[in-house]
Amino acid sequence: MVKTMNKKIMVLMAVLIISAYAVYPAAAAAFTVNYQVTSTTTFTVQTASPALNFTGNGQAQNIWPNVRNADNSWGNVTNTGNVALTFKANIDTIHSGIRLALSNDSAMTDPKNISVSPLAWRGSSNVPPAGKVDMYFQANYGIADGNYVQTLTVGT
Amino acid sequence: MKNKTLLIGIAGIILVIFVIFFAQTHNKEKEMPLFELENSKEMSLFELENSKEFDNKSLEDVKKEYESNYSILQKIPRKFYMMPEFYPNFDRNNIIKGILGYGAHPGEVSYNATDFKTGQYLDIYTLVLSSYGVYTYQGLGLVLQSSDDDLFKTTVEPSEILLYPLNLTDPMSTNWVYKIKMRITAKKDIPDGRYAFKLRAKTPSAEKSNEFASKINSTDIYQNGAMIQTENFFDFILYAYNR
Repeated sequence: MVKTMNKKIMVLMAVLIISAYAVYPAAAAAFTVNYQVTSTTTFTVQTASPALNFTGNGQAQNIWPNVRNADNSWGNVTNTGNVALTFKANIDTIHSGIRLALSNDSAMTDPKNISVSPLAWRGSSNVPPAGKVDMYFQANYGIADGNYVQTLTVGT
Repeated sequence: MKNKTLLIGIAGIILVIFVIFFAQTHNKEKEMPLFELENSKEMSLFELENSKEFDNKSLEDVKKEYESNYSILQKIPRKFYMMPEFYPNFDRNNIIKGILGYGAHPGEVSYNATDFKTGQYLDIYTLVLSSYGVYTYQGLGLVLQSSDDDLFKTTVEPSEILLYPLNLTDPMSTNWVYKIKMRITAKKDIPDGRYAFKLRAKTPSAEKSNEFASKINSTDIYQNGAMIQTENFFDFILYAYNR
């Protein structure tokens, strides 16, 4: 009698345990892949100098290339990939007293102040393959009170 | 007798509760792939790339196979994807020289996934390459941004790279391409929806930048590649469904 009871209990427990696993099975999943395998997002930057170097202290300034010529851009970015690209620019650190602006024309239309957060500038959105956008920089040097008194445009 | 049966019954119920609890906890703690390719065992990139599968195939064969099946990217050996001809936009006669530039191939991938549950992950791959005419060494940090950090954990491997210029006469001689593995792990069961992930370029850590700069010759130029970046460097879109 006892043996029969034990067997019944064991069977019951086995059923319960199996049921528990059935409720929480190893999750099955399904997937499909959609892809655009031919897309490439390369771009190429051409500049007049290896880097945009500048120092500023009050009203003393030196910017490379050290020529004020607004007619030429400091550089440009070409979409060398095969899909439209949006370009963004940023700098590593913000220099106190120097404000660096970027536009795609020498008139500095709609300039964007460049900071550590990547930012698109005029003309840099949705550039088609083989398309190009210019980079004109303008550095504004401030004096100690933050009143920007000098303007330099980077050119070659 | 009745008491004994009752005790055994209670013990059984406790055991069942324990089993349920264990099953839940186990599922949450153990990370497992959302799906598996032919090889169920997780293999390193080195192992994957050194399988015999591609031994007798030409570059053209591999390109064709890859273009019809993105999933094989993880297994394609280095000797193929280091060839500039592997990339559809490469034109040896039309290379723009430049100081900075890079990108990804493919630039966009999307998956439809059904029943993406807690602890499951999926791995996606892309190739990050220096633009063909760039003559500088570019340091890049890589991070995969998720549209919902409460639902997903992301990792990128390698997460900091030094892109060498392409040597057209010997493309295998420099690390101008890296195969990048991105892992997306579900922190919770993923509700139905569209989830966007973006690979971002960032400035490498100071330690890595120094290490990278020390690897190149003094006459070569080292750049922080992330100074200019693309909004759509590499995009991954996940469409999640539940049955």
